[in-house]
Parts: sequence; C-alpha cells; structure tokens
Amino acid sequence: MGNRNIVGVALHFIIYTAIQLLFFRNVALFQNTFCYLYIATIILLPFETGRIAQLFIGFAIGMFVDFFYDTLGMHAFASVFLAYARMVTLNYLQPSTGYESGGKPLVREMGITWFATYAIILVFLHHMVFFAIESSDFSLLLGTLVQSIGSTIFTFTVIMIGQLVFYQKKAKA
Amino acid sequence: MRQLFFLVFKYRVFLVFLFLEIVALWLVVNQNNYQRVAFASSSSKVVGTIDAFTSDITYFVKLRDANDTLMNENARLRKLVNTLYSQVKDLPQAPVDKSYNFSPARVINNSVYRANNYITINKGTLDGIEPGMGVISSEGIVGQVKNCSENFSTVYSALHTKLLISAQLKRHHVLGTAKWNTGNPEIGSLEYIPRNVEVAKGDTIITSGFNSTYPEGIVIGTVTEVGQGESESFLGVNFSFATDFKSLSYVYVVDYLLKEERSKLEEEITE
Repeated sequence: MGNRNIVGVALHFIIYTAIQLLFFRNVALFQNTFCYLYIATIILLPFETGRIAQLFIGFAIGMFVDFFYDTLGMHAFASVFLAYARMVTLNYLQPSTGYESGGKPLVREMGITWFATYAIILVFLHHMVFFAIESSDFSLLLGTLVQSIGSTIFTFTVIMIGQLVFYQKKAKA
Repeated sequence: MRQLFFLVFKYRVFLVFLFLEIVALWLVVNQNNYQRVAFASSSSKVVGTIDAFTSDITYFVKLRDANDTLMNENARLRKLVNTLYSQVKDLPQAPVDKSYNFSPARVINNSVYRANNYITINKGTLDGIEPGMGVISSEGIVGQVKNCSENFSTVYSALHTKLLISAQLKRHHVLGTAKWNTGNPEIGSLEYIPRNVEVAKGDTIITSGFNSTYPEGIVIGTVTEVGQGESESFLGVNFSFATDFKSLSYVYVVDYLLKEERSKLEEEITE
C-alpha cells in the first residue's frame, strides 16, 4: 500500500464516515431501514491491501462508528466480518487475468456489473450480521432478513450514486 | 513446535479475524459496564461536541416551523383571552371586545428609515386579509393593511406620516391622535391633547377602539416628552413606540367581525 493509497483510504474514511454520522445517523426509512454508508471505506479498499491490515481497518472503523451509535462492539463485529468476507468474495470474483496491481474495486475500473455483484454481496452480508447482532434474538430472523434486504438496497443505492457521480473516469491520455 | 508455528502462520489471517470478532463480541456483551468505565470519559467530549453540532443544525432547520406553531398558538390564546375577558362581567376595566379575530402573519419585508415606511406580510386575501384591517404585534401597534394580493399584503407601518391612529391616554381617558412625523423610528407624536390635561412622562398611550380598526387597549407607546406645541389649544406630546419596528418579525392582523353592521348603522345616523 503506497502513500497515495493511504491518503485515498483516509479520504474515503473521512468523507463516508462524516456523511454517515452527520446525516444518515438521523435517517430511517419506514422506521427500520437504515443506510450504513461508512462501510464503503472498507468495500473500496485497494485490492493489494494486506489481509491482516484489512481486518484491523475494519475493526477500527467499526469501533469509531460504535462510539457515536452507542452500540459498542456491534459495528466493529460486523465490519471485521465484512473485511473477512471481502477477501473471500474477491477470490471468487477474480477475473481470469487477476486484479490489476494498484487497482481499486471501483465502477470506473471494474465495470458496473462486477461492482454491483461485489457490493451487493458485501453490503448484504454486513447488514445481515449487524442486524442479527443488534436484535440479539435469532427467533426474529425473518424480520432481520427483511430489514437487511431493505437496508441493503438503501446503502447500495447511496454507494452506487457516489460511484457514478463522484468517481470520474480518468481522462484518456 | 515448529509445525505449530507453521500452522499459526498459515492461518494467521483467520486467527486475527477470530481474535477481533471475539474482542468485538466481548465488548457487545459487556458494553454496559465497560462503556461507562473506559470510554465514557475519553470519547464523550468528542462525541458530545459532534452531537451538539448536528442537533444545532437540525434545530436551526426546524426553527421556522417551530415559530409558526407558536405563533398560531399565540393567536388562539389571544382570542381565548378576549372571549374569557368578555365573559367576566365584574372586571373593573372594560375588556377588549370579543368581536375581533386575530390571524398571525410573518413579516417578510420591512423598512424603518424611509420617509414613509411599509411592511410586507405573508398573508393575503386567501387568508381573509382585507385592506383597512389593523395590524398589531405582541408588543403593541404596528400599522394598517394597505392592499392585498392572494398571498401577501402590504401594510402601512405606523412609521408612515399618513397613518393616524385614534388614541387615548390610559390614565386620563383623554382622546387624541397618534401619528409619526419625525425621522426617528422610535418616536411618534400624540396630537389634539387639550392643554388642561396634566400629561406626565411615562404615561401609557393606548388605542381608543373608536374607529374599529384596532380593539381598545392596544399599547401604542409611552410618553417621553411634553411640550407647548404649535397650536394654542393643544399640547405637543412625544412618545416612544411600544413596538420595536427594527426587529419586527411576527404580527397579528386584526379583523373586526362586526364591521359591516356597525358602518351600516353609522351611515343611517349621518343620513
């Protein structure tokens, strides 16, 4: 991970977490559908980020968000899970030519189909784990599932809007 | 032993994963005790500051709605007070007439430093506002409606040289006319007060209620200066307006419900 990548990740963290805490913290659709935009920082980590580093980044971001939500440990748990799931998912979705070195999982680099598949899987897994822990009652699994699906659509839409609006294609030289 | 190290190294990612998940889970389970002891002191200041910041923003956004709500509440209560007053027969002072209706409005444009000043409010004919109605604030007199569109009205400010208000001295029950003819947006003059009346500084000037634009008893201002005046038979009285025109934001439009009945009756007399 070069210096440029570290700056990029830090920028992602600041922007996505700030939007999460200042805006989406107070937003709930239909009273139970939430947007957890902050996980975009983890989802968009560069491909070559070290595996253990990813786990610790996930833990740190989760803990940071937990402080504000007063849910100590819950977002951390879900975020670490997300970081691990990301490695597995990246293995499965690997193109035959492998990932470009220095690349990132962005729409402009990987195409919209690949990105949508990748992001929906991860967002859903994270939300499912988080809501299951949050409800801490596995008898309500159906309710948790519905809530996860709704929130996944919400979060994914916001991430996608971000991808399409703010990540311009690099000008062709 | 060497094989154990090898094993640990091989599965190091998964082991770190497990370790972090266990830590997180442990925090979840113990969060009530743990949060208070270890984190509340260090993080609460940062978190609290950011929380206060966000709530300030949302509060600011909601402020206008909140004001409108309070305004309607005030209008309702004002009406209620009038009704109740008129039901209490044995009050020493004659209460405000219950035949007035008050509707709240927001000032969206205002001037105080021109020779003749006007106010624009956000209510119009659709809200039942008509030219000629009186306008007051919670502090005192404001002006009179000049003309209306569907959703807005312009109002003669009391700071308009053509606006004459039928007034009386509260202590003496002597009638006069309040008007504005100086460049100072805080001072008005009370005219046609006979010389034999002993007006003192600090006397309150209120509306007379005689011309039905305003209910009786709305405060116009307090006397600041009593002079000889230009005319032989009348005093020159200056007063400071009760209403602070410079910071005017909400007003009430006064509707006299018995207007037609009264003017019809008075026309018959003049004929």
